Amino acid sequence: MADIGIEWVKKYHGRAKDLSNTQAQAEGLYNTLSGVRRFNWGDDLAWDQDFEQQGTGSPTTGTDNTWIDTVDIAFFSGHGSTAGPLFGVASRDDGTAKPTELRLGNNNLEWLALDACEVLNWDSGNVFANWGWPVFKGLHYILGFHTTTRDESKRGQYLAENLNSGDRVRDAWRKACQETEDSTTEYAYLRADGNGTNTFDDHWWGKGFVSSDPSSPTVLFFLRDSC
Amino acid sequence: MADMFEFPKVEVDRERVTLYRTPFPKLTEAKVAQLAELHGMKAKPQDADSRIVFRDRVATLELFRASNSIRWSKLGNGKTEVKANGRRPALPDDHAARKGAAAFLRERKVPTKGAAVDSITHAMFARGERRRKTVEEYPIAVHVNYRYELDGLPVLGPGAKIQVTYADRKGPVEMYVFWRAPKADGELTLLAPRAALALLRRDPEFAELREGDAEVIYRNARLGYYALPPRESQGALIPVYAFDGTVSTRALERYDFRRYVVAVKLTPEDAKQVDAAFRSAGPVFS
Repeated sequence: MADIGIEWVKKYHGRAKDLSNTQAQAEGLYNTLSGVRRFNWGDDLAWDQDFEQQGTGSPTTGTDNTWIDTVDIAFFSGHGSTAGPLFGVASRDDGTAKPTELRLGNNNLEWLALDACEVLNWDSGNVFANWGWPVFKGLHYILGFHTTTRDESKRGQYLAENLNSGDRVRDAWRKACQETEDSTTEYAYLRADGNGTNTFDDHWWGKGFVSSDPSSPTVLFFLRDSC
Repeated sequence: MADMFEFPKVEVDRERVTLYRTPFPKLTEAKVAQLAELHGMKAKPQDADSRIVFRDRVATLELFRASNSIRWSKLGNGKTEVKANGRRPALPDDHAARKGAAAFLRERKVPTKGAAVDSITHAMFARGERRRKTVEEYPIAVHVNYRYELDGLPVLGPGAKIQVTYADRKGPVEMYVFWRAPKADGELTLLAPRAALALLRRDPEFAELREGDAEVIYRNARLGYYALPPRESQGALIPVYAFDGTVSTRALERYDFRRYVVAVKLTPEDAKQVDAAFRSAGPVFS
């Protein structure tokens, strides 16, 4: 059985506009996907340090080996930008899970879904330097958005339903985004491959082929596409 | 708090809007078999909760139980994002894609009343290697995107659109049609634009923002209908004012968003008579 963790933020305490549907969206995945529910942290208990590697960046308070990097799939729902997912409290680190502080997959994580605006913006190719080489340490995919995305409640559930029904991870994300956004929104993903791996064909655990981990990726693939 | 907001002038050309009911479709076994044949599916149907799914070696067909929506796709059978030799695909130009999409929809007997091409967009792909410093992005698919109109008003939301996709010049590789067949059933009195603006001013999502620390600018507004995602049951299209805005704070310099305000005033009892979707949406939603 594979492990699932989610974090979501509705209340931003003035740091940004509050959101209404992030809890329902993240819990839609949590309560629908086949697997073991490991953690569900929301609002003031969702922290950027849960995503970050200890000793990396400043502050160096990362605890990903307690949280995000201990599960197989992690799903974040909240605000974001090219700087990373934004959290409602800044007192536990600095309130943004910056890619420079992330090292993912060196413990367990295969798939990270960031349901937040512009986290995977192409940014003239800087997405590779920002999110690619430093972050992928065994991680297979980051799923996210090139553009702004809606504050909506169903995408986590649809992603889980698609994965449960045997879709590949990339197809499950594409289809969930098509069903929940206008065609002006562009979903995106980054995926890694290394010697002997094939993450293109990744499925959810128990639903089909899963690649071995690209611990030292040699190639990264970026796709952005209209919903 | 009022000074934190900036609103556009909202103009409407009517005082009433048509109520469009969208009855739950009857997806009988005969209808399912007919659609499978039309899309060339040989596989047996699988029950996937809110969908009926056919998968064979060539394509996947999904029929959505709660709406008159379908998705047919050959993309699930690909081996990688681009061809094995890494060559860039030869895509149809915009004109050819548009013409081909219209012909394909006719061939697959997709009703397109009220739909028109809204945009042509591209799927963009890039491959990065550790030693290569510059990475080039290039198109690997072209989409023809349609949107719907009813009574001169746009049907907004994810449940009212068509997309036909080409990954080469041989023919479409994917098509989805998200739609509910509407039936006009009388009229509803429109909420005055000033009442919609008053609801936006009281929108709880902005309650913790403070003048001086935040700015909320609504750029434009339009009247339309709202359609839920195709997996959801929706007995009537929701008349809405759609407001596009941008909010700026210190922690998030720019967040572009859309807020919908239900554009008719109904009691909960009235809403139940019309459709539960009106109640679950709330007066203001995203």
